[in-house]
Parts: sequence; structure tokens; C-alpha cells
Amino acid sequence: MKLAYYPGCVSRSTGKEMDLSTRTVCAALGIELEELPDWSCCGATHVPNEFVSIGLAARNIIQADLPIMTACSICYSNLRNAVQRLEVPEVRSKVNAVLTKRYEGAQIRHVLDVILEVLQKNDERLVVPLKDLKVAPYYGCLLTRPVGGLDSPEFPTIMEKFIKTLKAESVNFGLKTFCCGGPIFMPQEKAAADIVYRILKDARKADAEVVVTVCPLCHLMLDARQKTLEARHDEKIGIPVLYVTQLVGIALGLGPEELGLNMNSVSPMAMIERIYERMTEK
Amino acid sequence: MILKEKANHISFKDWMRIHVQSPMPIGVYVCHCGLNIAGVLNMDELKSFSEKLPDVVIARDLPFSCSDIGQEQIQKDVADFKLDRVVVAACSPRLHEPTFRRAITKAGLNPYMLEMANIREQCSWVHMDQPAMATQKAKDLIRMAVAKAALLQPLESATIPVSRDVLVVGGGVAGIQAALDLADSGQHVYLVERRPTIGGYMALLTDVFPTNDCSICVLAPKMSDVYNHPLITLMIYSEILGVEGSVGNFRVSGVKKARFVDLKKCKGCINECAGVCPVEVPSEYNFGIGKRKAIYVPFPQAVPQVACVDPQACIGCARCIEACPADAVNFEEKQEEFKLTVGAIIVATGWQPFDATRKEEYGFGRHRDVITSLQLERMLNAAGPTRGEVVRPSTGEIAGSIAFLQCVGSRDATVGNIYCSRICCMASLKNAQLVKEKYPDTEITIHYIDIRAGGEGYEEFYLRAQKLGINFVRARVSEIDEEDGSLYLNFEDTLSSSFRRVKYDLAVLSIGLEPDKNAEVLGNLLGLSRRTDGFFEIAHPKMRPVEAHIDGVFIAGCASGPKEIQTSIAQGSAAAAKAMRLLSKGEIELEPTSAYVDRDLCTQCKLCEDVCPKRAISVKSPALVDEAACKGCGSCAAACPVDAIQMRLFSDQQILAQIRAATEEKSEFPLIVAFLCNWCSYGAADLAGTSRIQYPTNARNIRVMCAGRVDPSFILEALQRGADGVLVAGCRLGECHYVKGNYQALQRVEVLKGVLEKIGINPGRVKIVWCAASEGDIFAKDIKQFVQELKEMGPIGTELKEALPGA
Amino acid sequence: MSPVKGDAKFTNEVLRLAGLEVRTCIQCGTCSAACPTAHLMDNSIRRLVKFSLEGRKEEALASSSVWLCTSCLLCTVRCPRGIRPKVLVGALRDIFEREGRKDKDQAYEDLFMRQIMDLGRISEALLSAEYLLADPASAVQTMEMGLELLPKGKITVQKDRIKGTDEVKSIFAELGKG
Repeated sequence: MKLAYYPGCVSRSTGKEMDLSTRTVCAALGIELEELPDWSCCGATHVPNEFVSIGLAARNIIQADLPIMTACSICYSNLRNAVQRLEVPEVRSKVNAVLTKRYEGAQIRHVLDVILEVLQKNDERLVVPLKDLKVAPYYGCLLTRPVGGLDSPEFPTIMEKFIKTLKAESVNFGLKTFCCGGPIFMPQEKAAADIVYRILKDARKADAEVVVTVCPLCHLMLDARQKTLEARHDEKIGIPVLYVTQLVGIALGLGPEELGLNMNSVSPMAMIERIYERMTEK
Repeated sequence: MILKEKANHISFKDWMRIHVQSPMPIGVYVCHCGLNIAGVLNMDELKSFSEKLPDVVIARDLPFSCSDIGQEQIQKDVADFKLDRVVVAACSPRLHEPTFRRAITKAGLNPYMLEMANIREQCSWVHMDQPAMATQKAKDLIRMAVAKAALLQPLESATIPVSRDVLVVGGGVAGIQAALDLADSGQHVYLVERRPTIGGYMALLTDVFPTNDCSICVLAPKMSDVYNHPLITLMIYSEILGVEGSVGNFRVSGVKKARFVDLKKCKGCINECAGVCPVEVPSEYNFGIGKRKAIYVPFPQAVPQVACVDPQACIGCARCIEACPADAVNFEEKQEEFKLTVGAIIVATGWQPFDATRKEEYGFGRHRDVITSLQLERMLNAAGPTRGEVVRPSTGEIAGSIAFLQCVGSRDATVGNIYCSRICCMASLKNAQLVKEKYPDTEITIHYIDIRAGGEGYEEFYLRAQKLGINFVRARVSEIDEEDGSLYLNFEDTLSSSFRRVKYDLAVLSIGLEPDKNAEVLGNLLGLSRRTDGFFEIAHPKMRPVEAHIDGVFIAGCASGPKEIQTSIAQGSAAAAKAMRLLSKGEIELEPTSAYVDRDLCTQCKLCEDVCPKRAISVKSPALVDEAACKGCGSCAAACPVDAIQMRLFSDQQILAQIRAATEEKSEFPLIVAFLCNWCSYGAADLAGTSRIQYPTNARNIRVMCAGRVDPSFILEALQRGADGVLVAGCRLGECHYVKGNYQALQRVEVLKGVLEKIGINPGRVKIVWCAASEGDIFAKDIKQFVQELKEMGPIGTELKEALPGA
Repeated sequence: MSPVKGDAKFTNEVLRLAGLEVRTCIQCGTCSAACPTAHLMDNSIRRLVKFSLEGRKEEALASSSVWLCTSCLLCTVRCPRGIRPKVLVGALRDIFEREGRKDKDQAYEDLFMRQIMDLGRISEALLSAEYLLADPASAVQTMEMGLELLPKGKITVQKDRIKGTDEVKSIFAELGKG
């Protein structure tokens, strides 16, 4: 399989491990990635004029002839929204008037969906079964929104399917689609922190050993903010938060460095040790 | 000798006219209509003009042609001059065509040997300030009428015998009412019901609004009447698989499914057989909250009161066979095919409940204490699975607090149902009252967007619910979540702008009504149209509430949209009356307006099948028109690429003759040939006349049954012969009397415009407009505007000269 | 501002940016009850729609809610009329910015967009640093985050500019026109 790859801005900073693990896992699964030559920011959630936002997405889309894959849910949602809106003839002609090359349709994919498709055809490469590992699937908002994407925007189950494919167990996680509050972190730190605390507590209550995410902003909030929250609430949470690509990388037997596990704030190493222990117990 | 002598004072043509009888002698009668016509037009000129037209042997002007004196004069002339066709230049044919047809029939002519020129509504009344130009237009209109008259053919309206039997599909309350009304009037009815019992959804409800009487108590006597009526053949547990033929003679085939229980032997005791059956499955008649066995009676009041074996659930242990004291269970029973011939079909296929699992945010199917309004109906029903107790499914305890959520699956674009289901507000008001009366301490809140209580006694019913202490919150609930076994509703109370998360024991989703998926097969067999909401479309949204677009097919009850019980019953009766009216004589007369096929020319391309709104034409090597079903719109004739299809009225030759006559003398600039559809735009043009709305004289109108009749070759002929513009006017889009004729016209005109552009003719010379019969002003405006546009373009051919200077 | 006769120009601009379907709002409250930050807002999303339709421009633009939207899209997923309230909030932000109004929330967005125009991509470290100047109160969380991410090698300050910045600039200029 060969896909165009849109890394997104965070691939070069706060989401380095997302980008690294995506490239490593795709290589291991024989998915060839061709990075868009001159990709630009999708606008994230900070370009309020939708026409501009669509234009920014379209500028990236027209650089590829292949289906475009991204690992970031925000980029994914923006690209998908652009594809949907560009079906409106007036919007398309308006946007095409500005672009250097005509937009003529595209297929957008998320790395989760790509990996799941490959593994469902052939799971022999999964050499480290994540047996008994309790995983909280955290979808956040944008993996399945706007509607019409790879799963239900209200009660998605694709991550549960993914977790099952890795032989792990998904926990019943009530807040799995509750917004992490990331976009209001700067102006309303306290409010955002309260939301993140609720989500982490919910995962704890469900006995999760690890939370998996598909969005770098969710990841930043749940992982990098965890220590601050622990200090603020004087309470140990200590739950590692991995990108789906990192979790599948572990199951593929890939090394911590290749998956950027050392870049996670809450270290997953103890959890990985447990995985190996359980494997040898058998 | 005589020739020479006569030539001195009259022309050869006139001499021939007098001395050699024309092969088709035509009489022309120009009507004064008092001063209505004569006050504007020059009658003498029109009369002498008419006299000189080919084949005309007599022309007269009459003060009132429609009066007895006028009619007698025409009849006398038919005898004296041996006329075989008549042209009356007077008012609109929509007004007096039947009058003059009767008049010439009395004189011994075929009624279809009449043509009218509309010189009042479409001439003298709309060009009052331009008598000279109006007279010129009237001359053209008379010339066109005479040209068409020369090509008229005598037509016989056929009478066909019909079956007086009626098929009613669907045994809910609408179908039951239709069947009973027909049978009580002496007409034989086949009532086909898909399920093993009749009664529909009404049989499953508890008390019903607005009187809170027991639903089954009022319905059961009717169910029993149906079962026992000598003129009703109840075909239970049966489905329709084929329909052929048309009004008066539908040939219907279907299958009666195997019930595995002998209808005659079974006594309905059910405890014997079901008692030993080891299989339990959720009961569809309790919407999943109760269970039934593999051998079952759907519900206690089912009709017929006969057991039925569910082949999907049955494991074949045969214990029921042994247990049955009447020896009624028979596993060898096979499904049976049947064939019927009926004159009319009443579609009363009803509805299906919205699938609440689709609203994932409400957690139906995940949270046990979230139930649907139909499940609550069954709980409240004394004969239901909880014997009338309203309990929390998770605990079995009586619910202490109940939330109703309105508009679940209705008024909701996210599930594709933007319509209001119309009954849910009243049903929730009713159920809330029933619960409150039974358990006065229960806390009940109805969450609504708008309470819709429009109906007799409905607002009073709402008032009663409020007085009982039921709470109302104006909010559409956003989500139901579950925490520690309790339900929480999340909503914004929009009247106080406050966000709430409130705990309830039980949440009731007021689910909407959707078109029944099982009815799709029948709809396709009959060729019924569907509205965008998916329900069957009726022939006119106001004036024809129970008629389908297909002749002889009627629709009653929720098959054509959500409605309450009383309306469904009224529609059942209305459909029965319509069917009786159609079939009571045992024969029906067919208008001779249909299309016919030249079988040698037909290439079997099937284009005609696609455009026919009545499914009256079918290509069976070659195409064949069902003349009983054809309504003569002519869309097939316009679509036929080899001109193999002709219309008996409004034939190609007749229309072409009108076009040639209109353009024979280019009497003004710009000259417009206008095709007006009989139902809307011709009516609008008439209305402009009766309203005396003035507009330019440039259009020469040709009446067609439908804009879809206009063959692109007509338009080309008009332009070739020197018309500066061609107007096609149809009903407003979506309002065509033949469903989609105007869309077809639009498509053809668009294609033609492309062709014109390629050959260098300004495509603006062809204009298509829509107006309803009530829009005389819009018709007048359209003509004014088109005249203006054509003036700017210049006479036809200007563009070619510009393109080829010097040519 | 008159509650009877609002600012029609404002209403039309919101409709142009957010879609004519906004007119079909039935004020059912589904959007605001779905909103994860509704409890922080002075005026709910539902009320922003109402203000917009009634031309109550000042009330709409002064609402804190305009800057509290997380773009989670749940309002848009659930709206029974097919309205996209999130895009409406965007429209209000866009109008706010184009009129040159200033606010610390707007400042972040402004810096964000300016960086896309200049470089084509976002450097989060640079952005946070610039934002500190606009909102010194954000220093605490910025420092905390920085201390967390720096040792992990996730803070990069190098600027690299894409080739197509002209195209990006014209996207903003042409498609963002009022």
C-alpha cells in the first residue's frame, strides 16, 4: 500500500512521537508513505473563517495524487470537512479561483483506519499479544466528526475493534468522546484542567492501565499535563497515555526508541514490562 | 365556358370552393360574445378573413355562439353545407368546448371534429388598447384553428367493463374502515394483511387521545366485523408480489404464507400448544419488552384468534402437535399462491416506528431504562407484558420519575426525517396523564420543542395534562448518560437559559412514524410516487387527499404520511367512496386521448417507458400503450426518437399545422409561438384574460396537454418558419399534473438550447417558464419580458448575419 | 442598539459565512446542551444564534462564548436542522477580527494565523512565546508546559518556511474577504 502522508505541524514539536511512531509502524507493516512536498498548516481550530480553512486544507490536498493519510485527528477532521464542503459547487469554484492547481476531489484517511485495515487482513506480524492489557480508548472529538466519516460521531467503536485486534481488552470508558478542553487551554487553563482531570479519573475508575489517543492535542492535555494535575490535586494518577501508533508498535515488537516512548511524559515502561511478564507467564 | 365566365368576377380558388365540394368542408363561427369580443376586434374583417381560408365553406359571425340560437345555427349549417368539422372562434375551450362538442354531436358529427380559437380570454380581453393588432392576432389564431381542424379525426370514447371487486392492502384501522364501508355497500373486498392478525398498530395501543377510551375496545368490534363479513375475503398473513393491468382490471398475484396451523381447526386456546413450546423469543407485538413462544397468538385480541408458528424460531420439536387437542398444528403446510382481478386498489400499508437505536446519544439499547413510546403503550396496556404496570426494566420496580423526550426521529435532519410525526405530542400528553392518574406521586416531565395540539379537543387535552401537574420543559434533550445505574438527562431549559443534568428512573423516547419499508414492493409494483419524506404521494396535496397518481389506486391512512386514528378512519372511508364511485356502474368510459404506437417504426429503445408517469406504456417488442391507463400527456410522443408514438388528440401533424399557420404571415415583430400546458399555463393565460391584465399581442398560443408534449422538432419548425421566439410554459416545477412532464420539458429545452448555440442561433429565443393556473399576472409578465428580450435580439436570423458579415 | 430593529448587515454577514440554514433555527437548545464548555459561557451557543439572527451584533460579539468554543463539533453533529453552530462561532470571531476589535483570546488566534501566513506552518514554542506578550497571565501554564516538554526534545524553535507562502497569503486574502 502506498499513501500520501500529511504530518501536520505538531509532528515537528509536541507530537514528535506521534510522527515517529506513525512512520515506524507504517514501515513495519509495509505501508509506503510519501510526504506531501510542501505541506502547510491546516489551520487547526484557529482559523475562524471557514472559507479560509477550506482553502488551507485544499492547498495540501492538491499536492497529492494518492489518498492522503494523517495521524492527527484535527488535521484529519479539517481535511475531511474541506472535502465535504468542496462538493458544494459555489465553494469549489470560489476555492479553485485562488489555488495554483485545481482541486478535484480526494480521499482522506486516518492512520488508525489504515493500520486496522492492514491488521485485519493479516495479523501475523503482531508478535507481542497485549493479552489482559486494559486499555481506555479515548476518541476525543474530531476522529469521527463531522459526520460521514469512519465511525459514528456519537458512540464510535472503531478503537475497541483496534484494541481487540491487538488482543488487548478495552474498558468501559464513559467519557471516551468527551472533549479534552485543549483548545481553551491558553485562555481558560483552570476550566480545561478540570475537564482533563475528569477524563483521567474516569479512565482510572474503569481500571485502565493505559489510555490511547488519536489526537496530539488530547495527548498533550492527558499526558503532559498529568503531573501538574497530580500536584494540584495532591493525588497520584500515573496513567500512561499512548498514541494508537505507539500501542500497535509495542504489539509489533518494535523498540521504545523507534516509537518515541521516551518522549511520553508519563512513562509507559512499567506497563510494557507487565506485558512481557504476562507473555512469559503463559 | 363556365370557367371563363366566372373568372371575370371571382377567383378560381373561390369558384372551386363554391362548385367543387371540399373534401373536408369546415364551418367557422366567429363569436361577438356581446361586446366582449366585438368591442375590441373587427368582426367583419374576421368573418371575411375566415371565409377565404382553405376548406372553409361557410363563415359566420354570431352574437352569442353558445346560446341556443347560436348552437342551432351551427347545427343547421352542418346539415345544409354538409360540414364535417367546425371551428368556433370564441372564448376559452376550457369553458365551452364541452358545449360545442355536444352541439355538433346532436347534428350528427363526431364530438372530436371541433376546434376552438380562443379570441376572448387570450385576445380581446388582454389587448383592449390595441384593436388592430388584436384583430391581426385573432386572424392568426383562426387560421391556426382551421389548419388543425383540417387534420382532426373522429374519435370514439371506449367503454370497458370493470371488475367491481376492490383490493385493500393493509389491515390496520384505515384498511379495516375502507373494507367495511365497501362491503357494507355491497362491493366485494379482498383485504390482504402481511401479519398473522389484523388490527395494525391501533390494536396494540392502550387508551387513545383525546378521549382516553380504550383503543382495542373500540377497534375489536370492527376487526370482528371484517372477519365475519360475507363480502370480505380476509387474506391474512399474505403478501402481494405482482400487479399487472390498469384501472378497472388489475391482475394481482400474491402468496399466503404458511402458518402451520389450520385456520379452521384452531380454537385459539394457545395455552395448550404454547405451554409446551420450549422456545422463547422477544415479542414484536410488545416491541421487545415481552416474550412469546415459537407458536403464538400475536396478542390476546388478535383476529383471527388462531395460533401461528414462527418458522425462524421453531426448532421442530413437534411438542405442540402432540399437545393440540384440535389437531390443528400442521408442519407440512406450504405457502399458497393466489391470483385476483380487481377494479381498484386501496393502499393502506401504514407506517413503521423510527428505530430509536439510531439516536445513539439517547442510549436506547445501551441503557435499559430508556424505552420507546410504543413500549410504554404496551406497559400501560392491561393485557400487555407488565399487566399495566409502568416499571423500570433494569429493576422491575415501579418508576418514580419519568421523562418524556419528544421529536425522537422526527423534525430531525440528522436522521433524515425533517417532518413532524404529528401524533407524538398528543400521545405523550395522553400517556403522561394515564401514568399520573395511576401513580399520582410519579414525577413526570415532558421535554418538547413545540407542543402541537391542533385538533378538536386537543388543546383542552393539553390543558388537562398541565392541570394534573405534569411538568413541561422547553428543551430538546441533547444526551442521556448513565452513572451508577441511573439515567441523567442533559438539556438546556431554553425558557430560562439554564443547563440541567437531571436524574430520572425511566426515559420515554417519543419515536416518530416512518414509511413502512415492507410497502416498498407494492409501491414499486403500482408505480406510486414518493414524497421526499418517503411516504406515498397523493395526486394533489389538498384537493385529492386519497387518490394516487395512478388511476384506480387510492391511498388511506399513514401510508401517505403520519396521521392520527380519526384521520386514518376518515381516509379509509374516503378511499372506499372513491373506489365505489369509480366502479359502481361496472364499466368505465375512457377518454380517447391516449397515445398509440406505430409498431413498424418502434425500435424498442424504451425511452417512452422511462418518461411515462402512468406506467401506461411498456415495451414488449414493440411498445404497447395501455389505453385505460394513458392520460394523453404526450411526453412519450415527444421523447420517441423515431416518431413512432402518436397522440390521438394533439397529434404531431396537428401541432405542426398550427405552427405553420401561425408563421404563414409574419404579422408582427417579434412573433412568438407559445406552447401552453392545458392545466396550468393555459389556465393562467385565461385568468389573465378574465382579470383583464393587458400584455403585448405577439404570442400565438398552441394548447398542449403538458409541457412534456413539446417535441424539440416543434420548436425548430417554428424558428425555421420565421418565428422570432418560442415560449414553452408549464406548471410550476413539482406541480405537474403528470408528475414530471415539466422537468422533461426543461431537460429537452436545455439540450435544444445547446444545439441552437452551436448552429449560431441565440438560445435566448427559446424560453421556458412556469406558472400556476392562478398566476395570470405572472404569465402576462413573462410575455412582456420575452417580447422585450426578443426586441433586443432583433428578428430571427439577425445573429447569423452578424456572424457572417457580407454573407 | 434596538431590540426591535437589529443590524441587518451583521445578520447577513453571519449568514454568508455560516450558511443560510442558520435561519431555520428552532431554538431547541440541543447545541448548547451538547457543548462541553457551556457551563463557562455567559450566553449559550443557542443564544448566539438568536443574537445573530436578530442583528444583535454587540451582544453577540461581546459574549465570552465566542472564545470558549473548542471546535468539538458536537453541536454540529446533533443539530436537528443541519445548522453548523461551530461555523457560526467562527463567523463571529472572523467579524470580530476583521473589525479590528482586540481581546486576549483574539490575540492568540491572530498570532496563529499570522504565523501561518508568514511561515506556512506553526511553531508552537514561538507561538506561546509571542502570546506571553499579549497575555502575561498565561505565563504559568506556558512555563509548566515548557518545563515538561523541553527535556523530551519536543520544543523546537527553528523557523522553517514553506515554499508556497504566496499561495497561503492569497488564500487568506481572497477567501477571507468580507
